[in-house]
Order: sequence, then C-alpha cells, then structure tokens
Amino acid sequence: MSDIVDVLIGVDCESIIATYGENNAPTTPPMMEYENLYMVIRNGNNLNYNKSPYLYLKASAENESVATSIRWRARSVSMGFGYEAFLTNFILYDGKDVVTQPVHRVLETISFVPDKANPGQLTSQSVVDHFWESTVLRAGYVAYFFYLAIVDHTGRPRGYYRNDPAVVAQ
Amino acid sequence: MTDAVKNVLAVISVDDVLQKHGVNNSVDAAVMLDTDCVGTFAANVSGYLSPLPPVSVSSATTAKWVLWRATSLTFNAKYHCLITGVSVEDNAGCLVSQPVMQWIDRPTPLVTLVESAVQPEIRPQTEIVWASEVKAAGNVQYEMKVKVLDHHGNLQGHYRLQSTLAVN
Repeated sequence: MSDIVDVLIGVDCESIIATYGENNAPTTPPMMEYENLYMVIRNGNNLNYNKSPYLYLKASAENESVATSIRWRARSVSMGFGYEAFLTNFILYDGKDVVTQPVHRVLETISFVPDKANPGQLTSQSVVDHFWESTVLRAGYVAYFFYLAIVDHTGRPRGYYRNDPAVVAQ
Repeated sequence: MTDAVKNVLAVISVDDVLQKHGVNNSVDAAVMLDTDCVGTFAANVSGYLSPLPPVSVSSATTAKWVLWRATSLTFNAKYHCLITGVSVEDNAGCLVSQPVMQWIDRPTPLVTLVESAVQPEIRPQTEIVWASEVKAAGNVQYEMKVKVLDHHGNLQGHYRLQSTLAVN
C-alpha cells in the first residue's frame, strides 16, 4: 500500500526557449531559473502553487505500513499545443538517502472528451501517462536536478534544460 | 510582432476538492473553488495558429486567441477535469465573443527516451478547448465551470472557479 504525492510541473516553453535559446545538449543542458516553471503540489489539504523551488510534503517512510511515492509530471502550459515538455532525467545531489532514485514510468490509460457530434456524451481516448516516480525513505531534505526536453509541434527537439528544486519530506 | 495564442491552464487538486466539498452532482449548483484548490497559469505560443479557425477581426494585440484548458494534478490521467463552460466579464471589450467549445485537430509530439535524449514522433490528436478571439488589450475576468470524473468515468462533481487574465 502506498500514498502518492503528485507533482505537476507546468512549463512555459516559449519563454524558456526565448530566455535560454535552443540547444542539442541532453546531458549538459543550461540551468533554468524558476520564473517559467509552475510547480504544483498538494501540501496537506491545500494546493501549493508558486515559483518556489521548495516543495514541502507530508510523507511516510518506507518502513511504515504506508510508504509515500512522489510522482513528477511535466507538460507545457498549452498541454501540447505548439510545444510539449518531457522530463528526461533526475539526478539527486543532496539527501540521496531521503528518497529512492526516481525512475521513468509510462502507463497507457484513458481520458474522456466530449463527443463532437453530441457534446453531452463523452468518448474515451487512450493517452500515455509519463511520470517519474520515487519512494520516500525517511524524513529530510533532498535537492535534485530535473532535466526536460522541449519539442515543437513538428516533432523537432528545440532544447534541453535543467532546474534544481528541492523536496522537504516532513 | 508574431501572432500568438494565449493559453490558460487551470490546475485543480481534485483530492482537495473532494475532501473539502464532497461529491456534488448538481450541475446547477456548482461549488465555487478557492485558490487553495486551484492554480491558474498562462503562457503564449507564437507563430502557430493554423489549427485554429481564421481570425475574423484585425486586432492590435499580439494575442489573437485565448484558449482555456483544465487539468487535474495528474494531467487528467487519474481524475479528469472537463470544462463545461467559460463565461467572461469583459468590460474592456477585449474579446470578440464569449468563449465557445472548439475541437482542434492538431499534431501532438510524443517521445521515447533514449538515454538522456528524446526521440519524438507525431500523432494526430483532437483536443477540446474553450476559445475566444481577441480584439483588444485589457483585463478580463472569467468563470470556468468544470466537471470532474474519476478514471472510470464516474462523475465526482460540478465545480467552478474564477480568475483574471491580462490580454495583450
């Protein structure tokens, strides 16, 4: 049994490209500041959404009956219109014993949309759910880099970028 | 100056909504959500208007369209947030008309990860957005009505949220 904390990262792709330029450097991408990223997370019974790099979450350690998993997802604020953002890597550099190394997971699932001929009816469509998942091992502070790629609507990678936020598991 | 689409994304923490307000089946009495359950973000995409209908007016603004979308914290993979209506208070006369639901056929990039790099492919996808054409700069207040479904498609409730958008 596990408790899941979902972290949503909304990415302003156009502003990132304008600020940091295009590149083809997946392993050595430029560092982004926070102004073009919107990190959203539940904190207790409230939603935290700001440009702060610190995410505070209530977590249970793995040796208890309910361990906490963290799932990070990133998409463009336009949800794929014009640009899409994809998380490509996570590197923990402080507090490596607080959480496990995040791993990339892909799930096929469905989403619901109004039918064009009859908008009152919903139809389902298959979607791919990409996320990176980690398990909390103990309370503490962990700092990490996440890497993301921005791809345009023609499928051309426009650049790779990274950011260095932190999680405080309480 | 490149024509742009202004994209508005409302992110809803459905777990918080259900915990605070419970299941609400009444479409006529949608519960208003506070900012502790909702975040709204906006970002432009420039030079890519082709999936949208041709603009009907000549505006002096960069933004030619405003598109509203809603998602749960899982990008609609667990809970689904479907917009059922967007109404705008537009005292500055920024928009040509009230937002309407649009089906947009557009290419969608998907990727496979190959070590640290991405290997993209393109798939056609139909997306549903709420859209308004822009005619002038200014601020608009909007109210969005949202229907929340679980991953089985079962209705969890009807809710609404309000926010302000700067059009420029």
